[in-house]
Amino acid sequence: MSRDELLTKILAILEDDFEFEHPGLDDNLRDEHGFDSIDAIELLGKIELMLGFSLSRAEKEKAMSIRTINDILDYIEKIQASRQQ
Amino acid sequence: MDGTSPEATITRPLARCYDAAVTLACWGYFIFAFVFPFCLIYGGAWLLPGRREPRFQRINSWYYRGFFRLLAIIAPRHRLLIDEEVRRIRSAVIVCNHLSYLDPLLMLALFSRQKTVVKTRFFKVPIFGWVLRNAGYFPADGAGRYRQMMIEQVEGMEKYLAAGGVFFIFPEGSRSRDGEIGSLHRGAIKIARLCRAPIHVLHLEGTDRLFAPGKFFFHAHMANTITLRKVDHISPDRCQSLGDLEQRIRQALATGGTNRQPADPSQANVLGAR
Repeated sequence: MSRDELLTKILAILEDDFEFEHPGLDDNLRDEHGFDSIDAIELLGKIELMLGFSLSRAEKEKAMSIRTINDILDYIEKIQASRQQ
Repeated sequence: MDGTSPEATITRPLARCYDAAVTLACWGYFIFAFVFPFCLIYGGAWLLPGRREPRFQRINSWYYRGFFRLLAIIAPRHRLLIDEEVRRIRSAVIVCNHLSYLDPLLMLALFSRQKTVVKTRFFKVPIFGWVLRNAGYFPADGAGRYRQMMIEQVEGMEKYLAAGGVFFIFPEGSRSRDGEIGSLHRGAIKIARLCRAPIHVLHLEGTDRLFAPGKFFFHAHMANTITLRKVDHISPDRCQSLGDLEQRIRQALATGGTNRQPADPSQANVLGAR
């Protein structure tokens, strides 16, 4: 999946499931949208569905430090790249 | 003259002595009942094969039931009225207003299978932190070394609730000093939505009169009724927005305090033993 495709899907998830309103790519999700650890874990479940495979414990732990939408995209791209190797 | 009656001059020091004695007895219970027999019971539960979480939760419940039974004996002017409906709650997220440090202890005593969110710093306290970890409670902050624990707890929550457990939380985060409902954290609502579990909104009253925020002594001498009632039930529905759910809970908690029914003395009970 390209970064643009990922962005479209992630924005749809954030707006539909997490009720974000017009999030900016570099908004601090915690401070500006109330995105907490529980949201991060829920989002990971949705990312797993989107990618079609399960994330390891270590990969999930890394996701807990995500702060922006760009971080989410970087995170998914890294996961995809590591699985393709 | 300061306007104090001679009777009050005599009874006030007596009341203070009584409060001090009850406080001492309560702390004595926490320390000595833990040393014996609970330390042995926790140790046994840890050594036994199989899942520790349910065992530790049940033992926690016994420990705090013991505390409330002791209170019923040594502070009989405080009555505890708990709706039968509340005692039957299973497989649900419970949100409640927060008045006193006694509130979480009451919830622990009331439900045999219970999880809650605990301040992260308590997980670092020797023995107490070990009990919290083994009981499967959540650290309030899932950062650093608690990430793994947070992920495991949230991912296992749906199964835990489906098996009859309750997840209780005080969404205001800290104790209300004036009885007003403060701003609500949305964690409980998010968990309920994620796990498609019902939310029960409970209203608690009177624990602050027994053990007030900022005070060291229990106010054992005064007559008081502690009530715990269900004021709303919200079925799982993904369509309701977080904001709407928060508003509904806030309203239920606020009106729960104003639309209260007179307490029925025949329902007075000490947890688990009517």
